[in-house]
Amino acid sequence: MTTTTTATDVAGWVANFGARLFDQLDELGACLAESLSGEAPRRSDLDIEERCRALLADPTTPIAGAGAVMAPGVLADAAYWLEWWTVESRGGSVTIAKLAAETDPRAVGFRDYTELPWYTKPFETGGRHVTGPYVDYLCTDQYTLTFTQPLLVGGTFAGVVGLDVLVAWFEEHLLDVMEGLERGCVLVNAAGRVVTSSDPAWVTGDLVRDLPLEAWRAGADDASPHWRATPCDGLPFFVLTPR
Amino acid sequence: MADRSLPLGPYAAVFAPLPVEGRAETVRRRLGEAITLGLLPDGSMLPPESDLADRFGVATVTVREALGALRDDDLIVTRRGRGGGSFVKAPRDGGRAALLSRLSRVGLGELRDLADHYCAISGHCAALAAGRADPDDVARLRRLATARPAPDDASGIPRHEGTFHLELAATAQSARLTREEMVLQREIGPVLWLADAEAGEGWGALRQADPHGSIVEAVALGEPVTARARAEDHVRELFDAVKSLHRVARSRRRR
Repeated sequence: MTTTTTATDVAGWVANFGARLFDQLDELGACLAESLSGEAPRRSDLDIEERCRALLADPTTPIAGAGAVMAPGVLADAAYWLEWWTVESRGGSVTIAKLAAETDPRAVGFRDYTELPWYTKPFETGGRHVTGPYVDYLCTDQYTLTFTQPLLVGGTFAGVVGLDVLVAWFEEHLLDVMEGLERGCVLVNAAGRVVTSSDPAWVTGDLVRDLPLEAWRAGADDASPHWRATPCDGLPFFVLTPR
Repeated sequence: MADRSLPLGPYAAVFAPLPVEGRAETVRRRLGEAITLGLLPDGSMLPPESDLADRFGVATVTVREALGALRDDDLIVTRRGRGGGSFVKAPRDGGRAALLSRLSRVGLGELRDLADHYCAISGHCAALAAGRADPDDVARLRRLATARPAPDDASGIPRHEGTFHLELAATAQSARLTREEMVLQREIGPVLWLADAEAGEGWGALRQADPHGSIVEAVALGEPVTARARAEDHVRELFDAVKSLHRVARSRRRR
C-alpha cells in the first residue's frame, strides 16, 4: 500500500481545525459585543447561553467548554466573572452545565484568572491564542486545549471568548491522519510540548527540549539537524518529522 | 450592591445529599465546618432555604432548624426583606478553634497515613514537573513562590498554599494527579496551612527558609530527583507541624 499523506497534510488538518474553532469564536464575540454595548452592562446582559449550549450539544464538534471570561470591572455587578458552560459525557448521556467557578477574590477556591495564559496572552498581544495542552483544573478537570481571542466592545478589551477541546478527542482524530505517514511525526506547541505523536519515542504532554522554535517561527524550517518543521497556518503549532 | 450569592464550584461537595440520621445536625456541621474552614467566604449569601433543602435532599424545615443552630453558633446572620437572606459570618479566630477540635478527633496513625499519601503525590508531581515544565510554567511557579499574601487577608495563606501545590501538579501534565491533589487539599489542606503558619511563628529557624522557591528552582533546572526530594521534605515539615498542632489540640480537649 502506498501512502500519499505528507507533513503538509497533517499541518493542513490542524490549521483547518483551528480555523473552524476561531470562526465560532468570531461569531460568539460579535454576539457578546452587541449585548455589552450599553451603559454599565450586567451579568444578565451576557446573552450567550443558547449559543454556547448549541455548540456543546452538537455531536459533530469536539467542544468541551465554551463561553466568555470578563475583564475585571467590565460588569457593573461582578468584579470577576466567567460566563462559561461545560459538557460532560458519562455513560452515553451528555450533561451541559454552567461553570460555577469561585469569583470572590477573598475565598479559598478563588484563582485570579487574569494571570492565566488563556487570558493574559490575548490581553497582551491583542491576538488569538491556543493554550495547552495543559491540565485545566478550573474548568474541564482534563488535559485540554483552550482557544481564546480578545472580546472587544467598542474597540476596547473587555475579556476573552474561548472554547475548550479535550486533548483526548483531538489526539484520537489527528492520529487517524498522522498514521497515513510512513514514518512517525509529532505535533508540538509553541513551547515544544507534544500535542499528539505517532512517533513512539514521544507521547502527549512530553516537552521536546532544545528545539530551534524561534528560528522555525522566523521561517527557517531546516534549522534543526533532527527535525523538519512544518508550520500550521494560524496556530502556534509545528508538525515535526524526522530528517 | 455587589452580588454575594455563592458560587459552588470546587466546593459543590459541601452541598451534596445527606444520609438520613440526624439531618439537621449534619447540615449544621457541614455548613459550620465550611464556614470555619474558610471555604465559604465571610459575607457571602447562602442559597435560599428551599435550594439548600433540594441540594442536601432534606425537608425545608430541617434546613431551617440547622440555620437556626448556625445562628446560635454565631456563624451566620439572617437579614429579612428585600435583598435579605442568610449570610456567612466568619469566626474571628479564622476558624482556629474549629480546626483544632476537628484535628483532635484524628488519630496520629491516620495523620501519618495522610502524610504518606500526600508525600507520594506531591513528590511525584514535582519530579514530573521537573521533566515537563516549559519556561512559562517555570515563570508562573516562580511568581506563585515569591508572592506573599497580605497579613490582614485571612484566607490569603490557604489560598496561596493551595494554588502553589495545584499549579505544581498541573505542571506535571497529569490530570489524575491534579485531581488527587485537589481531593487531598479539601481533606487536609486547612489543617496543613494553619499548622504551617503557627510553626513558622514558633520555631521557624529550624525549617527550610523558602520551601516553594527551592522546589521551583529544582523544577527550573530540570532535576527530577532534587525536585522530588524537596517536595517530600516540604510535606514532611508540614506534617511535623501538624503533629505539634495535634498535641495542642488534644491537650485542649483534655482540659
